[in-house]
Amino acid sequence: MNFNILTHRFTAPLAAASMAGLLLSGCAVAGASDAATQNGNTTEAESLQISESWIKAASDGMTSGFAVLENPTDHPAALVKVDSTLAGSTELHDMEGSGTAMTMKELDGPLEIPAHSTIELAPGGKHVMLMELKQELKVGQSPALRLTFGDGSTREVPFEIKSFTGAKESYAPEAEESGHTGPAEGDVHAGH
Amino acid sequence: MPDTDTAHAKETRLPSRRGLLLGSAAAAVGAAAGFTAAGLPLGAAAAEPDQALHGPDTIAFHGQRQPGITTPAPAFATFLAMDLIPEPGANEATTRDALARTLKIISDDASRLMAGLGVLADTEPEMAANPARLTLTVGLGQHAAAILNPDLVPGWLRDLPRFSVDRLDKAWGQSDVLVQFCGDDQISLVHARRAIQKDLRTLAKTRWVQDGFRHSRGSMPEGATMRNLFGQKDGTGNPVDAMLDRAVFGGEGLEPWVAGGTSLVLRRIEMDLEAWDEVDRPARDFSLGRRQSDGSPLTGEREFDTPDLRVRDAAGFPVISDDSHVARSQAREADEKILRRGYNYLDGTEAGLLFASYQCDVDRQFVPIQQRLDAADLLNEWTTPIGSAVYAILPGCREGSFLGKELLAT
Repeated sequence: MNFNILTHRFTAPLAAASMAGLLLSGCAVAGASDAATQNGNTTEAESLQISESWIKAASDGMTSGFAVLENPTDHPAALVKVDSTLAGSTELHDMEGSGTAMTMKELDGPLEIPAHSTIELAPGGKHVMLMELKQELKVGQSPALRLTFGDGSTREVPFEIKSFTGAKESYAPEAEESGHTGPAEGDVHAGH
Repeated sequence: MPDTDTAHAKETRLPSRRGLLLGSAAAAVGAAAGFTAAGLPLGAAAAEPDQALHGPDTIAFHGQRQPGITTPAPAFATFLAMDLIPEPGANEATTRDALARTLKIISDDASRLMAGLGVLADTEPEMAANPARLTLTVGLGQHAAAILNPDLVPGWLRDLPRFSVDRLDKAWGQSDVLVQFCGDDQISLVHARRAIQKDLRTLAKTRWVQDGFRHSRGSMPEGATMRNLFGQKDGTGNPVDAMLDRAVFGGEGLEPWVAGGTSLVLRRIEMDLEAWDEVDRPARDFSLGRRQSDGSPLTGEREFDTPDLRVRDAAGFPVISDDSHVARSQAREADEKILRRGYNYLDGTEAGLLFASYQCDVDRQFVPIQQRLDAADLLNEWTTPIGSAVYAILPGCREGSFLGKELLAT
């Protein structure tokens, strides 16, 4: 992953500075070392490293969220669900197909994060789908989403709202015809 | 590099182009000794002493003052002027919130870009990988400063007085927000500019973009004075050390608008290269008060000799004309000092100087000098200011905060 390569290329304090700058709203990245100091039974919420979390700005309808989830532990972990008061419902999605002909579908089960691995939620791949938005998500805001993990632990993670013109995920070809914005798109989802 | 706030990744040392160039110099020596250049082994370049690449060089974003002002001026600059987009039905609070979100986005982007990382959700993070001393520096025009905090708007933050030499085009005029991008690599520079424009597309629209250039990194000793497109050394008289610090960030008896803040006057000065071609060397030197050859004052021998306006020639005339650029711009008061950090521009057939001047107080430091130049400066015959804008430069920010956050009215 690019970020790791760059971390090595540039000096460690700089990389740390940029990580700190990432979450302007102040919620710290919970590191494995932090969790390890508490006791032997650290929860997944404590031990997973979550960074680069953002949501595509949207005025209404639906939108998608992304993040990098790193599991530095010796044990497998999983992201089970994402909740938000911002949206009527949220789902974990994956993309299938290839190239420009990709459609999305809900994940069959939890998002597995194997031991010592990093899962990237990114445009064109796995993502969090937020449907029936209850308020406009404006660029520069950083609302928190609630992440629930395989062991039942939860964590509030701030997501930066970014202007982004990609990530035009659609469910199926007919969703393409009904357009990508506005309530109609949310309806397509709600009816699925 | 003497600056303490620059960093360099030591492990990225590879044989550089410069090594190859030194190799060709070695080839010339080899040829004199009876070897052909072609006979020089290819490994000769790699055998040169370590030549560090400049791409990984970074300048810290966080600090009490913004970077890109007293840090060394890299080869390229882009000045991006943006106007805030009013939200429908916005009130004072929501307008201020939109400005805060704008500054938050810029700050987060700047901290990443200056460290050689893509911004969050970057579609081309690879382009950010060679920051090459990239800096982003943010200023606010009067309108935006009043949104930030009406109690803090400095008196000098307004259009400059009218000058008779001005032929100002609104197309290069005042904007709400200015971001100055400087760097030694055009790829990371262009990427940084576009990343900011993309991230702010719902918050601010671009008014203008002005690109400028100086000498390439490593082509001259660090800190050597730039030549402008008239061939003159430009910036010789800049303050240094303690005087620089006071001129830009103030001190006792010279108050900045906020601690760590300063001001930028950016003027687009068109230079008539065709007409300048007709001016012979003695007239050029007379107009400037310095020699084009080495920048030395007509009363001195070396570039940094102090011009002596009292020296007269055999006929009793001042050696440095009272109407020369050097004489007119000479400080009349101790604090009439500015930091010129200009960049050349060449845009089709239009050429000139992006005159970027940093000073603590525009009215006390910049305006008196410009008034004297306006009244009589021999160089005015070949130069025309066509753009002008004034910005309050925000103080720097610490990690976890963003530019201007602590200044927001509550």
